[in-house]
Amino acid sequence: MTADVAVPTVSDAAVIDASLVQPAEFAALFDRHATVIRDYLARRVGPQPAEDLTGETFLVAFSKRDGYDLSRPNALPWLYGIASNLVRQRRRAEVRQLRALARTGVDPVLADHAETVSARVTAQASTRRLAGALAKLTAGERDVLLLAAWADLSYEELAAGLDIPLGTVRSRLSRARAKVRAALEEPSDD
Amino acid sequence: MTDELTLFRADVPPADPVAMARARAALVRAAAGGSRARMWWQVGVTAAAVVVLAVALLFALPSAATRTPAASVHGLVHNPDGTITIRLRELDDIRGVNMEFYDAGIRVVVLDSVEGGVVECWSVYGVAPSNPHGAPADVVLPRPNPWGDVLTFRPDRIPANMWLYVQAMVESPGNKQVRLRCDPGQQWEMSPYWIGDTTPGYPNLPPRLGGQPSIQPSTRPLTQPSTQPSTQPSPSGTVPAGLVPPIVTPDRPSDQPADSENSPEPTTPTG
Repeated sequence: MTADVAVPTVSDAAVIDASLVQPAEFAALFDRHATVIRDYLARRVGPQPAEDLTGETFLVAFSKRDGYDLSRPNALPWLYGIASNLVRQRRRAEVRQLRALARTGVDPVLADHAETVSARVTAQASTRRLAGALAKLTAGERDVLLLAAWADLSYEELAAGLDIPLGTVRSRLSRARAKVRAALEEPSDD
Repeated sequence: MTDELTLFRADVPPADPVAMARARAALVRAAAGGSRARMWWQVGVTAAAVVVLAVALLFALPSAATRTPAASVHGLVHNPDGTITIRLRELDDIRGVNMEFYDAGIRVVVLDSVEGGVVECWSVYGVAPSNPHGAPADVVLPRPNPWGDVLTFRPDRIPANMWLYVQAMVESPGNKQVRLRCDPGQQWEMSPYWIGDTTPGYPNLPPRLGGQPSIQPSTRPLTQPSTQPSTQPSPSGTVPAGLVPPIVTPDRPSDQPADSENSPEPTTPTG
């Protein structure tokens, strides 16, 4: 049996607009997007911090909802941007995890998940190289690359979500892709 | 490169439904606070309602001080006889109720109520691993009779990655309560009662289970849940045939182990 996913009948912008009068309406935004935000955060900072940061993301969003551009019906890029900014506050922890994965092959994210640790104690070589490459990116490059790859956001959505110019999105993405591609194409030391 | 990035993300374990419920409850609380800040006049109305409710509770529960030593805002009460009584009159914060289950060590996730109001009874919705959508992945029991549902299960036989999902049923307003009781090391039962019901409590001890790191996945089968109405603890194993829920394990691919060679740790600072 597959889980039923409710299809939103009103846009995120309408929900946010309604929440300006009835704040409790904002919870609908959590119901729609919390899972994908949490999954994005979980890969970046680990499952348990991700659940904390998910709550923080929506609290920040709630406090800033009166500044939301209501002409944008989909709030997901905005939420991703808030989440990414929160990840930056844990940048050291994120980089430490990526380096650990690159060095040892043990994924700290999965290591906390008791049911999978025995089956997935080591990562593939390509994953280790990817983690090492991600650790070497700047925080801005990492944000753009991972959001483009995982959240499937357009350049315009990335720019709006991260609050950076469109040209910066393009240049960061180009640099990040080049760095990661080069790292993945390096001959393996294994 | 895109494939590697996609695979990298696919390994993320599913969310903890209770942690997510806790996050949502925090948001709801913040929203309620914002509402009061915007509509100051509601503060007075709310305060008056609280006073009225408190007075009503004093009359309705004259012995509350002696038998509810650990009362909580959501009505989860540890009774002196070892039972746990749960009153769910405020289903606008079902996440808060879940949070209390979590704090009490009970591995139960109450889903959203069907409608606003009070709980009349609960039905077993399924035992399933948590999944990214926060809903049961498998329903192992058909919806039982909404009256007199009794849920029996062994919390120590629910694997650590699985949760018992319970659907709150709402049929009519009224003074109802749900009582959760357990036999130490034997079984748990959850059934609806009228407030003031004279059904005696049972001297059971609520175990501390959910959320404790000591929980280990069990390879033993789940105890068969019973759908028969009961006011007595059901003997372990005396359940109707055909209601044995399968243990659903997460379907996760396993990678081939890679070499354990250590590569030099990058030292490039990140921006």
